[in-house]
Amino acid sequence: MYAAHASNLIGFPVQTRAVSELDDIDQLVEKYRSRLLRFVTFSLGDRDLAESIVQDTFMKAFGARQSFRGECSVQTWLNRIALNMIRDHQRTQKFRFWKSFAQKALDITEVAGILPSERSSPEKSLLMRERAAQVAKVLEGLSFNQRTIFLMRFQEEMEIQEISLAIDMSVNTVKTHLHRAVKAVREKIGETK
Amino acid sequence: MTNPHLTEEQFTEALAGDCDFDVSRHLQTCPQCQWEIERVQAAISDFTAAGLEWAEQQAPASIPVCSRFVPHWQAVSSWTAAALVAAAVLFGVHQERPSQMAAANAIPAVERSESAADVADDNRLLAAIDTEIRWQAQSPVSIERSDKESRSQSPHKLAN
Repeated sequence: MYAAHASNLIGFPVQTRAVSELDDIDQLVEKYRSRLLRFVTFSLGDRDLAESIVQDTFMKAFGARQSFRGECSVQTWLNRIALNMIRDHQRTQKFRFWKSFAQKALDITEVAGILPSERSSPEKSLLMRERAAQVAKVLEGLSFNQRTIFLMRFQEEMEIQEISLAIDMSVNTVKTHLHRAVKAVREKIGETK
Repeated sequence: MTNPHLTEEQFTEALAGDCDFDVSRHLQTCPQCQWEIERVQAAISDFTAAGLEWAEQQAPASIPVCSRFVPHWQAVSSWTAAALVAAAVLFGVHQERPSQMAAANAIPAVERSESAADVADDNRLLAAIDTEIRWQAQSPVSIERSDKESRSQSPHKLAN
């Protein structure tokens, strides 16, 4: 009833589910927190700052839920808000403060070494952990744009066009960053063959 | 294709699932390029799974209750009301003190009883303000909960 009324008011029946979903912050956090935390953590390489930005992102999203038009998925919308917050932090002293005083800098390869143990044999798990750690290590060395675009495409499974809109960059520039990131990953994995 | 294998750009496009017909056809007929794509895909897939596993293991930080449920204007109005009451009380005491001191010796018994009635009135007023402030502080949660409850019982929600 409520959601149907909301969709009539705005005129986009498709967004009925999304709008009602955004109204419950507990549900929102439960459903999207893990993926958002993964994206922000690997984008920044700073666990504490990522945690803070994820929390701020949910607060901001909840406060601005009426402005969500349903033109993209909720996950993409959250990623976009988080990305804007990361950029804001980068531009401010707050980010520099966190960067310089962060006690728990993220060991990105350690994080990447966590894999579901029940998935396969110990030998295969070890191989998977090594591969994941290699990718994580390469990402650490990439520029912010290359890393973020790589994560958006392969981790968040966003389309190139979506990424282009989310980070306000041309499609060709997005493709160039993605190409450089993939090249670096491919070369690094090749080294250990 | 003059090049026997995919170029770097074509490889990225294929990996991203954004390749044209020629690249797709080449991948179907070239085991080496296919193997290379699968190798990089596997590494990215492992990295993605590991990242998600790690993120799921992190305990969610609690979101402050007052920020979650109290609308901004109500939070502000509660604080404003409290500040106004405090200022009014302080200002009133400060203003009345000289006159009270000057007339302290000449206050008849009747006036003392009237001031007691005033005190009772003041107490009632403060109690009313207190109730009002408490209502403002509590209502967003109760509204939120009742809203949630009503939504959870709505036909639309049940239909989903």
